[in-house]
Amino acid sequence: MADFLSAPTLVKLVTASRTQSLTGVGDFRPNLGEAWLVWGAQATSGGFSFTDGVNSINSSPDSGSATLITNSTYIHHSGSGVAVISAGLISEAQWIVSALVNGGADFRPPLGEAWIVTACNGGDFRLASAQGVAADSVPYRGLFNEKWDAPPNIPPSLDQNAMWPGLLLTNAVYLRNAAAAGTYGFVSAYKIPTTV
Amino acid sequence: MAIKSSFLFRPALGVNVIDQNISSGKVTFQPNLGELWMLGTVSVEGTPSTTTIGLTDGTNFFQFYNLTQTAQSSHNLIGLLPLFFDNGLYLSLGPGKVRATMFRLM
Repeated sequence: MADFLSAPTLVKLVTASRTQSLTGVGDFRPNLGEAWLVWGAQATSGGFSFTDGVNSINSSPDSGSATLITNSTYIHHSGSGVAVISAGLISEAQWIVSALVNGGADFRPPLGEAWIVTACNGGDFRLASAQGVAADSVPYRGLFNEKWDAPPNIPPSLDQNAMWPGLLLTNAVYLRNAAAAGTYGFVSAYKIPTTV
Repeated sequence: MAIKSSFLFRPALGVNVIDQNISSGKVTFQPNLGELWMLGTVSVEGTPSTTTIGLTDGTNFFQFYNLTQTAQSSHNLIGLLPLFFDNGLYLSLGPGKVRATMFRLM
């Protein structure tokens, strides 16, 4: 029987929890070198976005999402009401990949790495490979995908372009933001240890 | 019995990719004897009603998904479907543009 205890686990990597409430405009932003996994966020009047301080995506880390944020890509609350955000500190930030991806750019593991997407939102993310870019874009969900009907058959709190966790990306099969340059999308992922 | 750890986060023993355009029939990935794999990502673009994703024992095909089950029937994408397969019952999918990633657990 395999010794599962020998493996690093995400649970072990989460070393502290943090809950913050904001009234009005404010950031939920990790310190330099930190990565936080957001468990949930709710606001009385909405107004969440992911931002790198310059570009932002109007989306929502609503309750139930699992979004990784760093000092460079973090959550901004612009609503006038009260927001509550809870997160876990991941000290081993080398396991984390989090980026705002410009239109035309790729979210692609280097050779030898494998990443599992925890969340993405905004942009026009599609699978890409040596065959090119997938004909259809997201919205898709990580687990059982169905193309959206109109209106989208999604939980009302989930943005249309949001994706549930789970895609396994490699250097050969990865995500491309097929939107025009200037249309950013957010992706977070964790690296899985692998012998390849 | 306490669950002490999650297998999902143990080191993968390997990662495999299928990235092929299958004009007809299906592409399969059959692990070696003793290996256990788990599907990570699968995307198939193809003709509705003929493109399927499933497992096979070499004779029978056990369908898990087909494109007619999607609303727009042209593209299908599944992430981290907890679908395990081994040498005896292994991955089979297509036809169409197939992109799939998987990792080896044992």
